[in-house]
Amino acid sequence: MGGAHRPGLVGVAGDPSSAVHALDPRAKVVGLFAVTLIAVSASLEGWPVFVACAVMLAAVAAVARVSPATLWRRGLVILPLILLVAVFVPFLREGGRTWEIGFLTVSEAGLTTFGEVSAKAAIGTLAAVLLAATTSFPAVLRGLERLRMPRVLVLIASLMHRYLFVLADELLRMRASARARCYRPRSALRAGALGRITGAFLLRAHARGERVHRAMLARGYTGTMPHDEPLRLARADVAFVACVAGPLLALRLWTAVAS
Amino acid sequence: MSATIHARGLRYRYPGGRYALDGIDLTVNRGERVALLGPNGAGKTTFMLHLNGLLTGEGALEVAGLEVGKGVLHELRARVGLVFQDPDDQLFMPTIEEDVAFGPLNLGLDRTEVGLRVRDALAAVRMVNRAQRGPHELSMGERRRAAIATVLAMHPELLVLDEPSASLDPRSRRELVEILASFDQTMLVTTHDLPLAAQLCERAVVLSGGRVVADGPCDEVLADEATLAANDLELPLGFDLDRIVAYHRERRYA
Repeated sequence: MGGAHRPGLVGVAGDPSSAVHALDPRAKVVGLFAVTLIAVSASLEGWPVFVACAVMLAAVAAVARVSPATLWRRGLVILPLILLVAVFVPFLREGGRTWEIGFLTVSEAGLTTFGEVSAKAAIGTLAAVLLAATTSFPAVLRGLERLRMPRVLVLIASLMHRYLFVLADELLRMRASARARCYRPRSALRAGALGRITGAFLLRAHARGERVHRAMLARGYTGTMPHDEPLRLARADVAFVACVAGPLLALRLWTAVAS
Repeated sequence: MSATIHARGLRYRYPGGRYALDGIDLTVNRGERVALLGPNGAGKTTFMLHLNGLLTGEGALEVAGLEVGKGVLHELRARVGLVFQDPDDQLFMPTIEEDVAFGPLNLGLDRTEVGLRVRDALAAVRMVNRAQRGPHELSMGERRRAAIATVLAMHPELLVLDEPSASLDPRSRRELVEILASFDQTMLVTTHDLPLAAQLCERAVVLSGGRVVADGPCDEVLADEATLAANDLELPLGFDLDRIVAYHRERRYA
């Protein structure tokens, strides 16, 4: 059992029997990706688009019974990293009016960019989190494969997902064994062991790769993954994409024409 | 021809190393269950990899009716099921069901047949209710059983298991032995777990330094303390070989 496998942060959440969970993975990938694209294409003057995207995602979450707490917890894993980059923009970018805050200068253009980036990042993250909460990872992969994503990329993603936990466990075990022998690096001089742990970890990962490949060959693998059963799009799947993407797209076009 | 494995003078040297297999002569008949014993570095795993054509050495090797060589690899791998020691090496698909289907799909079977084989293989290792799980959601014992199902689904003639009882708790180990005992394939089990060998196999072969140094009925080989000691093999303290022998006799005459 994976020690690195923290419950609550990965895997399907909400009500597994909901209408959203039951959809074809392709419908969810396309629908939620469309929301992200529409949000990314909008600007701050067309802010109603951002609001509409957020409302739409909230509606999908409500139907799937994914709680706001889950969305918040999972969003927190990704969002701060993106915002960390964006938070410097108001101070660095020039243009429009300026305000002085102590020794820092904030520009209007910078604030606008920051607002836009934050809104887009939040909506993109929310869409991704929703997809992950309503669709199992294997299903997402199958959906992507059916959407003509190159098979090699799907295979890489699938193996990464599979071995991430195995390798993370391995790393945790090595770290535990170092700690169990009182390893507490307090200075750069004592960090050498960390380098050796990293080296050993890379070698192990490589050896693991070779063993996995050997085990695949032993079962008749010839370099291409065998096909699995086809997915079928139902009326509900088309309806989902239309209902999610349609109104947002219309609003986006309307704001584009109006401005 | 009733021999499932027929090796004559099989030798193999890893690049830049000594001979890991140094003239193996071994015949395993159809339906036999053979324990392959020996200390670390005796050549057990190397021999095992030869049975599936993952390594090819000098000498003659015939497995499941095929002369092992480049031209027959695909057919050979369909007839020989290799279960590796670490199930994490063997299970690489997102779900157990897809992993069990991987081998049969590689054989080019149609969807219905693959579905049947997956169902039967999972049933044989009592894992039907775990089909949709990912390997990281399973216990070690369950992963080991799933790994066995992945090769069972290919309907192999010969089942080769590398240390099947390694890092299993007593209950998982007992369940595994029960499951393995229910199979009727020819079986070659590499192991340090001598009680497992005694319980599961009627014949034992001891490898040392890449050669066969003992070969005979399992209870006799395990009772031969001199051979065991010479090859760093030990029965656990307090282990009662006679009980196992009696158990086998009962089974044989049941």
